[in-house]
Amino acid sequence: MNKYICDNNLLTCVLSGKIDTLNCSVLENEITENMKENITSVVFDMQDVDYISSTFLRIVIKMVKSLSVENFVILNVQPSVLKVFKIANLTEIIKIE
Amino acid sequence: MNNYIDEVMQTATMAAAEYSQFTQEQTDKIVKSVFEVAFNNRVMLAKMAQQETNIGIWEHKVMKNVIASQLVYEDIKDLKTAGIINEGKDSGIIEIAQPMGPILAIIPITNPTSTVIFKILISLKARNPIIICPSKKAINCCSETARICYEAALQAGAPEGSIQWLTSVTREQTQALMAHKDLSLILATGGSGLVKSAYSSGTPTIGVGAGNVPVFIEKSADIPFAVEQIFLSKTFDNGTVCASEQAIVVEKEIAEKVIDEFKKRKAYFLNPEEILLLNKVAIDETTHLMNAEIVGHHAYDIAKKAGINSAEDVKILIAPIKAVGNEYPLSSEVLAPILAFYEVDNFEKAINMCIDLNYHGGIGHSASIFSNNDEKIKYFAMNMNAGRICVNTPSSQGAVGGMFNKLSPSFTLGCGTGGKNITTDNVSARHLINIQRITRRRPNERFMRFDAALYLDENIKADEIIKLYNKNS
Repeated sequence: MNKYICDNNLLTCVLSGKIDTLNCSVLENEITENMKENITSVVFDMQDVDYISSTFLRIVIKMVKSLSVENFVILNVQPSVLKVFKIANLTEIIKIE
Repeated sequence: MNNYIDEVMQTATMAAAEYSQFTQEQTDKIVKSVFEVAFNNRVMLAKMAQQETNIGIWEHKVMKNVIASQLVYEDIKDLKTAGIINEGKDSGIIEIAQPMGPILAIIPITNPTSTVIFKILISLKARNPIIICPSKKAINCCSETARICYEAALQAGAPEGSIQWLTSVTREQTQALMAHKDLSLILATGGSGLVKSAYSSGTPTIGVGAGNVPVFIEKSADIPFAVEQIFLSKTFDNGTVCASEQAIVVEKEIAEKVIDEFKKRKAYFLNPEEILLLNKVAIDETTHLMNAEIVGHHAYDIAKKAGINSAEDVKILIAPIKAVGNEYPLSSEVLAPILAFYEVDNFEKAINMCIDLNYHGGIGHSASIFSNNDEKIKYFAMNMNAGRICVNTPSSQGAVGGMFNKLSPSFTLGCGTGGKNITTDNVSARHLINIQRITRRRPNERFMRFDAALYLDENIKADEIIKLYNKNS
């Protein structure tokens, strides 16, 4: 179950489990629903995520493109997931903290 | 100009990232599913390949598809390619297989659908996404093969973009793709120009070399059997396998019998005038390379093209010639049912002739011998520069592996450094993984107890050091 916390203009998405291609369409809808007009920054908290699909990587690219590098941050990635970001060559263009 | 290439590479990179998380079980399920769909479509794809390229014989292309699907699958299905693949308790070394990343697969016109099936299976087995780059004259059959494999792979859970195929690509785009920073490996099966260009791209490449396979029928051979086998090989898909026999070498003593056996099976021996006619249509006078227009065509059609009168049911054209080199065009490789024929005085001269043929454009590829004399077989092999020395076997099917011997079935035959390749192996899934080694402390006792200060004394020579090093061990 993903959780979404809005705090002024910051949206924190607390993601969990296995983000495979099927879960991605749910995730995308949820993000769209929670992206109120005032939201300018988004955080993905990935503490509880242990698998990500290529579709999820595309969502990440889309987020960076629409928000800019400064306004999109990924937090608390597990090592196995960090490695996937590395293989996908995304750690240069997204902020992972 | 390269937006398209960047897009292709981004898709492949994303797929690689996702695929790297797959377990062996998930991977094997995908490979099985691709094998089944490729196998089930073997006839349709073979017919499509023959019709599109106008090369070879569709029934034989079915067999190539069978090798590429059934035999390759059988060979790789139990191979460990994900996670821990080997645990050496004594050595303290644990091996872990990691995928390489996106692979670019160059596909030749001679074996289009089979090479696509083969490369998809071995790449997916190693958890690598693959990009198929077909020969311009085989785009439709290669795309269809890739498409049906991709559908089956997706259904079995493969990452999106794990198989891509290029339907129109310029030379510049191919080069940009080959040199792309995110590409991990090129599987380059094709002509020497293309293989060289892949090597020059800076991306690691497993390439192949050209062949010029001599077949020595040594006098202890079972001659009718040998001729039968050579027929089976040389007429297979009209001689399009690069490991097919190119020249027969026989000792004088048995030459007549060999010739009779060939004639019995509808081979036509050309006279000197006819050889001159055939030279012109088979080999390009300037480049000394085979003429693409006759590759994989029937012997009768080639004879007709050359203005040679032969029976309509002729199976192979044989040119008795004296020596090897550009002044004897048919001593070069021709992927068609054409064979050069050399009659020599004795065993040594036969070996020398085979060496000449082997080094005339076929270094590192394959060689073939029919013999029942172990010593002579080994002597022959030692003198060849060939990755595969097929014994009492049709060399096309023999070198490809899986049917007549225990070589890995493969459509990418390494030709060693002689063929400018990194391996002489039949390339397969095991070549497409990066192996990491966890190495536990297992001290070398002799090194530990040896007084390392002795190395600093330049007056102590090797033999003394070795003696001390091995003392009491």
